[in-house]
Amino acid sequence: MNNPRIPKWPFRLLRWFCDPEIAEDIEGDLKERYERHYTQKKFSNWRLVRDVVFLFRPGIIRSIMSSQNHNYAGIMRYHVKFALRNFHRQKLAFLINVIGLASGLTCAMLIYLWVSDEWQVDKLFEDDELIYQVMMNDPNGNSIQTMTYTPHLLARSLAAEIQEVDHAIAMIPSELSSDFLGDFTLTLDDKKIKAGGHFSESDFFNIFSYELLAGHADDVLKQPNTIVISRSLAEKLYQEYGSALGKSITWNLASFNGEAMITGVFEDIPASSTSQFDFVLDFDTWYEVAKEMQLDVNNWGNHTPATFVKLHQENDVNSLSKKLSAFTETQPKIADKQLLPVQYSSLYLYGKFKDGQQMPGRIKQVQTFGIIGLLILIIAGINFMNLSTARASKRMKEIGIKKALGIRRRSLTNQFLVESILIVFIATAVSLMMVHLLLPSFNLFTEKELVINYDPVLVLQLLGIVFGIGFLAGGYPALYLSGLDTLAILKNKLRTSYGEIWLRKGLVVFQFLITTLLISTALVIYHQISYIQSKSLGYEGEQVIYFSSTENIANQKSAFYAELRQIPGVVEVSGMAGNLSGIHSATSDFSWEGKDPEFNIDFIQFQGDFRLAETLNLNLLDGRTFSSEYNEKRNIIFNETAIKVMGLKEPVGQSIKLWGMNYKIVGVVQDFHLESLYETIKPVAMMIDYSTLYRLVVKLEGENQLATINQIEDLFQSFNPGTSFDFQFLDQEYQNLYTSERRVATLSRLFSSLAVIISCLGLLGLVIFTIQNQYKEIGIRIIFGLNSSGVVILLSKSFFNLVLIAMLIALPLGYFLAHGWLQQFAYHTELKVWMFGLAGLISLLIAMITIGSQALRVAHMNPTEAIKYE
Amino acid sequence: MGKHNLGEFEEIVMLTVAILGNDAYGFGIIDEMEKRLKRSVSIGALQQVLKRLEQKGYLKSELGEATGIRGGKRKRYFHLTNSGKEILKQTKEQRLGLWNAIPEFELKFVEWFSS
Repeated sequence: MNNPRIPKWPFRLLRWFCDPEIAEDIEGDLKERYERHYTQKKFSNWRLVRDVVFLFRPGIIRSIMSSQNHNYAGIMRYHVKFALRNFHRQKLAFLINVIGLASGLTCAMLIYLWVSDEWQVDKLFEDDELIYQVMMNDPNGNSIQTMTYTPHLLARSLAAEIQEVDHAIAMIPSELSSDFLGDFTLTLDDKKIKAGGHFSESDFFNIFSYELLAGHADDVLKQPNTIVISRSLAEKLYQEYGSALGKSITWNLASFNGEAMITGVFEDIPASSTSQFDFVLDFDTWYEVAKEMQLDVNNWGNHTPATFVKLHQENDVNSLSKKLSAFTETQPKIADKQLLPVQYSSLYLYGKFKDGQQMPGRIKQVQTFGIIGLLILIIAGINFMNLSTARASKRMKEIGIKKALGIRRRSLTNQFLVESILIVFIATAVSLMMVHLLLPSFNLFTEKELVINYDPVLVLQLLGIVFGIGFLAGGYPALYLSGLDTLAILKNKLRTSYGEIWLRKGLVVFQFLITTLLISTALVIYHQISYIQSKSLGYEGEQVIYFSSTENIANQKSAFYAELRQIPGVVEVSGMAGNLSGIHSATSDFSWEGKDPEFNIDFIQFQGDFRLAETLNLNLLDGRTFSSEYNEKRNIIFNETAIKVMGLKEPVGQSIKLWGMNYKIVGVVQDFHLESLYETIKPVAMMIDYSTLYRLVVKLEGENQLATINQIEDLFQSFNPGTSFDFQFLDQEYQNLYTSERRVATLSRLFSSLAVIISCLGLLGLVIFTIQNQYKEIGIRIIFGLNSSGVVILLSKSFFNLVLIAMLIALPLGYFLAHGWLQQFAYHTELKVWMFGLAGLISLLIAMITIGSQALRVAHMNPTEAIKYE
Repeated sequence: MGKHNLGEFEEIVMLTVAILGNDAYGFGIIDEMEKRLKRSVSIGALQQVLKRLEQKGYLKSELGEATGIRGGKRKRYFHLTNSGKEILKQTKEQRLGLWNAIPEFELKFVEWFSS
């Protein structure tokens, strides 16, 4: 009584794992028990499955070895020997396989190292999940702007009033001070060292658990005028870091300076931290600086430091958010804003903010490369699989004879698997060597310090790759070919099945699809990058250098300017506050005649000296630029966008209000880019800054720049003995905005060429295989008068169709993807049809060369030899 | 495990095989055990023990005739070997020896406690 209700698959499973000697009676038992449960209505199906699963026991499952009676090691040795002999016989196929797989694996491994390193960034602190940065959302017209900088008093109030907060600190990060005030100089006797450092409060090392070599986290920054320095800085100053403790050094920042006592030394900051600094000064010192800058630190409306908190518990963040929104209401000056706690370690990958919400940022790049790595690995895997199946079907005779001799199917399967695992193993070894060779340049390029650690996890992963790919690629030929009918093989009655042909064709299409996709995206990225680099920014960057001003220069400003202008080759000199392509201060307090009171838009404040517009070569559209002949204290120059936003006609001479005072518009300049091309141009208000200017910009003549710069350096040093002269070209600063884009461009070029190589290797293998199969046929055709071009056409037709199909799918898809990528730039190059045409052409050309070269070789053969073949 | 020690489950299985006589096969044993001991037994556990007992030489098995009720699958019949019978006897004597060694009042105490 074969019961139709009884599910079949548990029995199939059983037969797969169960020792065949006892399978039959167990199956009988299972059926009997099923009947019993079924009649008793006791979840019979479920119980059957449970019974089968519980049969997974030693003694019942079949032995992993093919046969317990055989000497397994001996059989293995035989398989390996046989595989090696096979490789030797088919050197070309072997090489194609190893090269293709190894390059795919190398690329995937490098990407893997990079991706896993990206994951680690900023996760170096104990309890990193408890560390939050408190950001501030500022509703601004229609949009919400998320600000990094917060009121001075915030940190202390949070620590005092919100119980979820364990520690809270305010911090002036080194990037902020260097953008606005230039570099720090530390002085000890005659040693002057330029360095970057934060101002922060005493709990700094309690929140960020950087390793302290000397001093204790609880008291290093407690007193005014104290400093904690890095080990390498301490060693530079005192040879040995241990003797630094308790000593005093002088620090210097723009026109500010002071003495500070070293209360601690921390281990140099690891590369996995985004925040890189050489020292931390106590916050009271910052208050001194702020006082001199006339910055009202007690005003809740002024936002300068960044605020960090550490919570007691992980789940405190929800209640913290709630309390923060209640908190803002107690302070009228920030009542319209919201405080947003953001996990500090997440900022690196999720560092964008839109409408007051944290958004994915760099993670997109990480994901994209992860996917590309995976795709390349897949292409390489497909290649391997295609070639092994193609090759295996050539060996049908061998299989047939072996089967006829009575070799078990399992043994045949094992042999194929051993062969393919062995190839993957060799390829992995080769690629490990490649990774070791390439890692130094890869590190240089990605600015990382990646290393391969052969820890058990990595070894397991590598073994996983070897066996995974080996089984996947070897599995199909192993199962398919070993299961063929022996007689049919021997009588030569077997034709390659349609399924197999379709599979192989499908894989070729898929491979070329990805390749074409990669080529076309690489082209588009390349175009966008060259667009960025060639786009006129509206100011002169190539011949302009900038450097930080110093206290000595500020004190003798006119003398320094005068001497600088004397240097032949110096065209124009000016001071500038802030930098061109970084952080700017902005204000929405402008009002003008006819302004809608609801209208709220930020104007970037761009401050500098009289000759700033000339030094940068800004294009004056109307009115005049600033001049030292006038008192420009209440005069403003706007850019075009600002005039458009305000809707002013004939702007020059008109009066405008800022912070309750009247300002006069004296000129209008053409728009220029103050931010990266991701952003649209914003309204800009240029004003004269009469206080110290923190940066000097110098326009040079086109020729002899090096000599000019040397003279500037001499002048700089005569004003600042012992201080090193660090300068940069302005266009370099702008280019720095696109470091990661350029990296993407280079990598995508690299990966697409790699994909091309791997795909071509695959195609090459398949073409050679097809040619070998049709060798005799072609020979006969040549005898009957087929000419060379005929042979080439005959052989390439089917492959071309595949490549064409791949392109038909890839090109629209590539267009769609590229379009999406370009949308994130406010200014981007146009997508042109020819870019995709070119990508397609490259793919086709490469395929054509691969196929054609082989076809031509056959076309010129001696037909008599072909007929003798086999 | 030494040669003269049977596990609890092994012992029960062997006893059940002995009870069933010429009709001891996989599911039959389970059925009998479930009936007598009110204890559910998984096929896997039983098969493993049967295999182990066979290896130790306490049981012998052979395949019977195919029957319709089991979907045409043959039954594997088990019976005790001489050394199997011997070990069962030894086990019984060991147990009895232990029981007899218990002083009377403590036995009562145990009975009272477990009742």
